[in-house]
Amino acid sequence: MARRETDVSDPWQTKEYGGPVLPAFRLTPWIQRSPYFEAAHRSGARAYDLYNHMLMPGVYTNPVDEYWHLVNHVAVWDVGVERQVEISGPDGAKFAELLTPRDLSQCKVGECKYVALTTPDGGIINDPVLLRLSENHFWLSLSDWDVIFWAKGVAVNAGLDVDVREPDVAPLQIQGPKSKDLMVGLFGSKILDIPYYHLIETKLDRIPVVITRTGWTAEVGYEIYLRDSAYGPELWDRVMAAGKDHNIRPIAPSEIRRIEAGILNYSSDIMLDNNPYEVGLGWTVDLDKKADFLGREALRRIKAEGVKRKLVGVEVEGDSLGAWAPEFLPVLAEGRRIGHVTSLTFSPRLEKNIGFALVPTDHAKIGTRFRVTTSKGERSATVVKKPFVDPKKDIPKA
Amino acid sequence: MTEIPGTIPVFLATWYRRSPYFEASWASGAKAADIYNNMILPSYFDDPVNEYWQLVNHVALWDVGVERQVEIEGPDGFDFTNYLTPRDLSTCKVGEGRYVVITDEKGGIINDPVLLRLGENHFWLSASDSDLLLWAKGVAVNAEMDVEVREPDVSPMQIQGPKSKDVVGALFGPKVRDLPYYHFLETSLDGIPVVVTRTGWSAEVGFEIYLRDGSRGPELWHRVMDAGKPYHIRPTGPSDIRRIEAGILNYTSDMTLENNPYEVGLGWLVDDAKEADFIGKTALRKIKKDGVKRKLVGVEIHGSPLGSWLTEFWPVLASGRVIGKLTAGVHSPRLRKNIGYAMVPIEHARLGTRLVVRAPSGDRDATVVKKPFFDPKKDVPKS
Repeated sequence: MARRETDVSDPWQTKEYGGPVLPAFRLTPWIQRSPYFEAAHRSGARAYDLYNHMLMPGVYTNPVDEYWHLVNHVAVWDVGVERQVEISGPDGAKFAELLTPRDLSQCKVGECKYVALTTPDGGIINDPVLLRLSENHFWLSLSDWDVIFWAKGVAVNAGLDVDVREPDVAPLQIQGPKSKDLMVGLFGSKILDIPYYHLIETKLDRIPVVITRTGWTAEVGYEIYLRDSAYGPELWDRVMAAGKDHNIRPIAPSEIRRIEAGILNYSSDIMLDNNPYEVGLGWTVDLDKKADFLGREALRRIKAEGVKRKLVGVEVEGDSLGAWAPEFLPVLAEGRRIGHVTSLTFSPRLEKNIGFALVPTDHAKIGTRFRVTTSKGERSATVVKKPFVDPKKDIPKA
Repeated sequence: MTEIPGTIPVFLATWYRRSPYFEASWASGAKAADIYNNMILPSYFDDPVNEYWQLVNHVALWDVGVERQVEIEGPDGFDFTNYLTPRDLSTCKVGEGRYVVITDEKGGIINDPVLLRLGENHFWLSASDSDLLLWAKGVAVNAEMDVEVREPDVSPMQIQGPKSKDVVGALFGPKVRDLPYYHFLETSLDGIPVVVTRTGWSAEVGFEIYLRDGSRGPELWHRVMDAGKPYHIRPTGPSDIRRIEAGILNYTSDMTLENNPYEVGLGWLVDDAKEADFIGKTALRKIKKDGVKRKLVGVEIHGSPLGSWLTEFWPVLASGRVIGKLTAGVHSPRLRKNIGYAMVPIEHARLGTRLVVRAPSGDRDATVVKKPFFDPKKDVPKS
């Protein structure tokens, strides 16, 4: 897998890929590959992201071109990196409840919920989408980090009869306005009956899958959770064939679109030392839920006392600062560093640099101005409302 | 820039954390990286064969800030740490280190850190590539022990090779220079707080400097480079060739959660006589009694020289059937042989067993041999 011709004056190859890329990353056996890896590579994936010890296509053409494709047509993403923690056993529900402040008694079998997993201190371990496959059977579809160890560790001495493991499951995301048509072509009209954040278990001929009406775009979208990786190449080909009439293309997850939508990325916008309230995920915390959960006391105290810092939406003035930020950008007020920008992108349709910044609460009010140190020098920035586009999520629910 | 075979481009992004030596490493000529514990590890400055000779003949500096520490402290710090590992820590004195495995209830390996005992109830676990922090924090939830588990601001660098004694001697004096194998000292270098250990991932004489204040990273890097100048120090990537010669294992390739200590040759880290309870005790006793079904063995792979790292696991065959996988394979320049490890069923694990390894370029014959391939008694690093 040779690299393409590159601009030697640009050691991080920013121009070629639309953002900075490590010049070379060692491909080693311990870097896992999804069942779609070969297919995605053949389709033109040329720079990667490493996530949950696995490779994920990070760029095919360039992030702006891929963004327009996503918002106008339909895209397929190889997100086999979304590893699952499977929870089952007689106390499965009790254990799943223990892991999250969200009230799962409100989550029926066949439903999905976006949840935060919290520590006894209220810190966020991860922010998976939870799938309830049956009364005591759950998947946590993870963002980056080995949550399997957290869940297994908590299970030790928990006194619950529960099994925690990583199943052979590899998701694909089908996202964009034409995803409904594609999915109907593949699975039939029953697909239209899946409401937002619901799931069905089904088969594509002999290929076992779970389909959810979820995704990381805030466009209409689905995820196909393949339950037997041996069928990976076949499933990929079937999706591509069904998408032909809908102008399908494989692209990478879109930083631009997810930032427009106010979707957070664990390990940049959220870390273990953040609690749900400071990153705007207080709505996923049900302090009074009946079941026991880790972090109740800490979260109650944090809520009562109020947070000291907050993740806010920001607009950074001036011309494009690129499709993604390679490092956390310092936020300055009166010349002093008060926080950092956690994500930043140039939105082609808003024609603005938008992102998130973690700042002290007294600098978090809408309209607050501060400075940001960028690769192109110091810039003015303003705290603005997020999401930046479609705040009520009418688009993905449509 | 020349093309480096066996590499691909990867994003430079906020979610890959950077060590305090990041800028210095790249300014010193790092050309390729690994991602390890969600951090960027400069893993290639020069051809790995050149880096190998530098390591075995001189001294090499590695930016291994990716070795994240899990810090355990509190009144029950000893009991908790002792509960995490099958190795008996009651014999580990303050100021000593131990190589340990951390196991789950089924005896599967969560991680294989080097443990440092900083105080009676104060430990660091220097983690290989898996989120050991999450495991330890998770176990603490229901352990009913008074203990705090956190990731401190600690960033190790390794100074490895026969001349490493001279370099640390010049920096820290004879007390550090003469540290016994697997011992350490807490000290400082003109106010830069560090822990220096006589450990490393090379099986050469070597030290690790655990920097305790990330803001002093560039300063420490330059101090080490200056002190190493007379000894021809060079920054390199960790040497896969040398660690394989030494029989050192790499978590996530030679072992994972699916493996127990016995099948990867780490049974010596399970103390049968350990009285204290630890996670996996029952399972490991049973595995030992029943015997393992598969084993990680040393192999010699015949034919022309292999490269300096595998880009994927290679299938291992016997009688035309896939029976296992090659987890490591390199060409050793001084043994002039291809050496590596293979995970195979126990009936194919005996010394002298012939196997076939399916390389991308075609099948090769291989033989099960003893490991380590070099210096089995570790006389070199202990010297």
